[in-house]
Amino acid sequence: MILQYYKITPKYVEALGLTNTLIRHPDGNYLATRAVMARIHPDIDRALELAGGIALTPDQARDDQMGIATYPLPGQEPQEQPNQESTMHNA
Amino acid sequence: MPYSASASRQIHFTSKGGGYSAIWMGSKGDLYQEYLQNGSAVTYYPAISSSAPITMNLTVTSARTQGVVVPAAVRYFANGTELSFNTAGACTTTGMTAIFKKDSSGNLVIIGNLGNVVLGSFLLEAIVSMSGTTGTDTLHVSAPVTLVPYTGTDTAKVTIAPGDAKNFTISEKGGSCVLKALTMKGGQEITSGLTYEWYKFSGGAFTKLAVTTQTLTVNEPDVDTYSLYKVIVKENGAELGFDIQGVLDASDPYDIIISSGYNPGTTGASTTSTNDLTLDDEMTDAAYLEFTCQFVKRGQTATVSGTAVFTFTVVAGNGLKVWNPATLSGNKCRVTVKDFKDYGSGVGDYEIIAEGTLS
Repeated sequence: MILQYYKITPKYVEALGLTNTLIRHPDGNYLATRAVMARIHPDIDRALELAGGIALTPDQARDDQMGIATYPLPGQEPQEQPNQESTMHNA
Repeated sequence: MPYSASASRQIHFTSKGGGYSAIWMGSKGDLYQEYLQNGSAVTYYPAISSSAPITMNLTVTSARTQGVVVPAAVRYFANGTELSFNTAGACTTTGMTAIFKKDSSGNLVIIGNLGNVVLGSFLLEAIVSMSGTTGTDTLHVSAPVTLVPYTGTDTAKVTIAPGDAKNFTISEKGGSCVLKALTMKGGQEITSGLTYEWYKFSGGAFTKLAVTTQTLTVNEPDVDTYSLYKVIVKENGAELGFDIQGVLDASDPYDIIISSGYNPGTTGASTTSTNDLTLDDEMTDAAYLEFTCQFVKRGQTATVSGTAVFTFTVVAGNGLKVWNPATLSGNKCRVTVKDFKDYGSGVGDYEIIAEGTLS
C-alpha cells in the first residue's frame, strides 16, 4: 500500500478536537493521516469528499507544508493569472 | 529579554548520549551520485576519487561545556559493515580499501565512488564515544547515501555544503559559519545563470532572508542554539531544487537538555529512564516515550531559573512535520505507539524537536 497523507479543511479537524495536534499548513488547512480520515468516514473517498480534502504523497505533503509547493484544495484554487508560473517544486 | 532555544532527539529510533549533539556532513554536502551502466562498466556523476575526495567532517558539542568536544573514539560503518583502518589511516576492510580512508584528524574521507559499496542507497554511520566524568557516552550519527540512475541534464540536485572549515558550527561568541549552495546537473556542478533564495526556520515557518548569493554567512546572534536554513535554487525563474541544513551554535550560554523515559503503558507501570528510543507496533497502544526538557547554562547541569515554555513537534524522516505532541506540566511530552499509528508515516525514523522560550 502506498503511504498517503491528506490535506483537509479545518472544519473536521476542529470537530475532532485535533487543532493543537495536527500540523497546520501555510494555507490554513491541516495534514491528516488515514487513521484520522477514518474517524470522518470509513470510506476514504467519502471522507475526502466530506472533509473537502486531497491526497498527497509524503514528499508532496512536506513541500506543501514548507511552502515550497502549493496543492490547493477543491474550491481553493488561486485565480489563474496570465504568464503565471506554477509554484510546483520539481525535485 | 526572552531567550529561545531548540533541541531535538531522534526516535529510531536510536539513542543520543545525554546532552551531546553532532553534525556529520560531507565537505560537498549531501552524499549523492548518479550512475550510468554500460555493460559491466559504471560511470559516476560526479566521480569521487583520491584527487576529488569528500571529507566527512564530524563536529560534536556538549550541553555541559561551551565549544566543541573531541570524541574519545569513532567507529565507522558503510551499509552496516564496520570499517577498519591501519595506523596510517588506510582502510583495511575487504572491498572498501579504495573507497575510504581516515585523515590525520580521524575524519572519514571518501576516496572512491560510493556505488562500489552497493549500487543503491544506503547509510554511512558513525558511533561516537565521548569520555565523561560519569563514564562513556555514545552518540549514533548517520549520513544517507543516495545513488540513482543517471538522469542527464533534465533534473538537478541542490545541496548545502559547508562554505568554510567550521562544518555548520559556531563555536565562539561573535563567530560565524558559511553555508554554500551547490547545484549538480548532468553530473556537473553548475553556477552560471542561477539565483538563490535563502530562508531561516523561525516561529514554525521558513522566513525569506535578503541574501541572494550562493553563500550565506550565519552569524552567532542569528542562531538560538540550533537553527535550520533552507536554500531554493532557481534557473531562469524555475526552481531547480532545494536543501535544508541545520546550524549549531555551541557558544550559546543556554541549551536544552532532553531526558527520556519509557513507560510500557500497562496499568500501574512506572516510567523508567532510557536512551533506547524505540517503540514498535507490537507494544500496547498506550506504551510511550516521555521527553522532559530543561534549560541549562552550558557548563552546568542545574535548571536555569525563570519561566520556560516548551513546544514539541514530531518530524518524519523525509522532513514532514507529522504532529505536535501536547505539552505536559510545561516541559514534557509523550509519544505513544497509538500516536505513531494515528499520525505517523509508518515504521521508520523520526525526530522530536523541542522549542523552548525562557523568560
